[in-house]
Amino acid sequence: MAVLVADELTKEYGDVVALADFKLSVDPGELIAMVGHNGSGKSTFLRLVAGLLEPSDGVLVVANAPAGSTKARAEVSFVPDQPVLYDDLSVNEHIEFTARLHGELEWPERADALLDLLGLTARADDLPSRFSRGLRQKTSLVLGLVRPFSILLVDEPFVGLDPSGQAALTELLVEAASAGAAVLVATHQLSFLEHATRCVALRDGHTEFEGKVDIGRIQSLLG
Amino acid sequence: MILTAAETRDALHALQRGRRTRRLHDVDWIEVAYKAYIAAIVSLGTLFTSAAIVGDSSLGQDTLHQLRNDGPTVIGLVVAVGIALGLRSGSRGGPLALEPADVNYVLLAPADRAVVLRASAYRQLRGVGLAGLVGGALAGLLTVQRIPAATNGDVAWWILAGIVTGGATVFAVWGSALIASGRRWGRVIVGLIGAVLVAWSLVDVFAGTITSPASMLGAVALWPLVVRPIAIVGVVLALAVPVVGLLGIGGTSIEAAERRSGLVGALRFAATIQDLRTVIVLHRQLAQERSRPKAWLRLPAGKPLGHACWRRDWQGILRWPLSRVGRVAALGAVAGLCAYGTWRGTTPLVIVAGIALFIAALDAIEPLAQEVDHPDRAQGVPVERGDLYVRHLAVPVAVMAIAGLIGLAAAAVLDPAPGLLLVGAMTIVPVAFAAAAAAAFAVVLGAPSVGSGLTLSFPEAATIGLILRQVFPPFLAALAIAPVIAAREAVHQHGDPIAIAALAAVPSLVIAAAVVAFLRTRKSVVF
Repeated sequence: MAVLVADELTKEYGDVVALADFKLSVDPGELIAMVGHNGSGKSTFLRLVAGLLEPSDGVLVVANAPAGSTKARAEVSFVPDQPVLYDDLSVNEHIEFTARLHGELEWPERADALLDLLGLTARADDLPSRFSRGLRQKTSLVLGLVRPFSILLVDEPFVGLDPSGQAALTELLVEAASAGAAVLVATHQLSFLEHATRCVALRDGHTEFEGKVDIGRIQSLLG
Repeated sequence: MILTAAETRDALHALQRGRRTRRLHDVDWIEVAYKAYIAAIVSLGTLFTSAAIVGDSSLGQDTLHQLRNDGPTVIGLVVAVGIALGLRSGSRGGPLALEPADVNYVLLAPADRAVVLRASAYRQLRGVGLAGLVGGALAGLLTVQRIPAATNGDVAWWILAGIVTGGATVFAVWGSALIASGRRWGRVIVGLIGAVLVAWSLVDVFAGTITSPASMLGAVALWPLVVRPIAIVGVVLALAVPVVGLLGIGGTSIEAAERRSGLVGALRFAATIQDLRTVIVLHRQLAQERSRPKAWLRLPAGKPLGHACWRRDWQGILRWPLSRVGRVAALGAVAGLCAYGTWRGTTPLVIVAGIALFIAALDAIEPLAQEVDHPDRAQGVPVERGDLYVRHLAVPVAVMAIAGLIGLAAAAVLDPAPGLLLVGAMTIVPVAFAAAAAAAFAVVLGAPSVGSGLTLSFPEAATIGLILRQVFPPFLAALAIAPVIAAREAVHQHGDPIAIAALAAVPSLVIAAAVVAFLRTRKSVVF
């Protein structure tokens, strides 16, 4: 049964249409890559699912609840493209706060594993406000993954990550999908497509392609 | 898992505790002491300056009678305008300004948003409430200086009346923003409600009645002079407004909250470093004020060469959104009315007029400001940067002349005497040049940079220098109103008001010319 359903979903900013009549149904365990040029509507869709934006028209149901509702927020974890972190909390304090907000009791073990995989263990007591872009991105990823979720939304996650970080992140995303979560990743990195079960290509807010990953076709679509 | 209200509060309290502990651990006590020292100097300076402007001579019986009768409705009008502005802020997601991280983690958590937002609202209310109470007390203290002891010169009563009025006003303004935000009222609805409130207060002003809630609040301020029991209704209503707002806070749009969170943080930072241009740009983004896709009018095709800045500037001005056109017109009218008030004898109104003209001019010099925003663009033009800036001044002067005409028209509504209109018309010339030059100076100078002479000098000198830097532009705009004061004095002394007004226009024009000369010295190097 689909965990995410978008039907005739439209988002307008004044006279600019960011997403038009968008349709998508996502099942648990799917790893979907969303591709498209800048301004194609990828981030807008992820932010609509996260509840950060409100649809101008259409239907968006997340875990049988309207997107943005309390029930939907319990199921959706969103990692934005720009890390958004508190200036005065350490990595560990961020993790603890996030886990508390989601009623997660077994967070220390999960956090340790994530910090280790992303190479942040030694920096766990430091303030991310003093980190490089890549380390802030890793912190943001840990916060997105440490809490329970059935839908994981990740916007441009590879930007600023070193090759080992990119490999670790890919492993984590595949692992999340294998564990039964629906994972949606907006990316410009076409090499990630080989790990995806499905691909959605957008252009100017409209769906250009949706189906099994065909890298050659996607490349030609994106020019 | 969905958190209960108690679990949400626990998580938020834990966060606050942790952050407070870290702040206390990292605090630099010398910096705190220095900030307190500066705050004390600024507070005392404000108190003494206000006292000097208000004066301490007792009001005459006529003025006292006028204050007794018209005071509540005029104060009520100011309160109504404040509530209208509060509603406007609410339609844009105000008054709360959350941290971006709060939006991303706390508001996206499976917790009751009303609980989360209420916690933030209480913190903000403490701050604005305190400001209202202190401001009210100060106003009461200043007012009692002018009240004859025989009437009711009891300082405690006036301070108490000021505290109640200031607190209730701030609660009403803040609460109305919260209601508009929680109920997601659009611009049209808040515009209508605001217009009705202001119109109701205007009716009270002209009819001499106290029927609107805002006028009732105004009556509280003058309670020591005239006891009007209906004033209590105003206070009760004002206190009810934030309660209603807090009850509906859960409906606040997260989209608006997110947009506001990023912009307000940047806006505060820009204000802290005194970067006026960035404050203006961010304020426009906050208000979602964008240029029109289609110009109000299309310029006729001109000559293929020459007048590049003149055409470009008009093209930009002709794409102004309606809100900006309305703002400049309203500021022009306010300046005109204040100039008229100055003519009638209330000289301190010249400060309000100067500030209004300066703010209007900041909009008028937008094309020049965009050159300042993008110094690399001017780098590719075969014209010296200073020359380019000066060429961009012609249209702002014309726009400010139009704003001045609007001000003259506003004054003419109150008093269409030909002599007054002639003085007003003469004042438009220095107003247009001085206001445009003042705004250009403020924008071109930009924020004080680290390592400049100002920031390297010893603290007291640097503070005075920074204050002068902020005060000079509105002072120059206010100086342009000098012909009105000069003409007024000439009339009192049976002199020739027109000749004196013309003479009084010279200082502002000379300083404006000096500012233009300064702008011309800007070289093609970013400073």
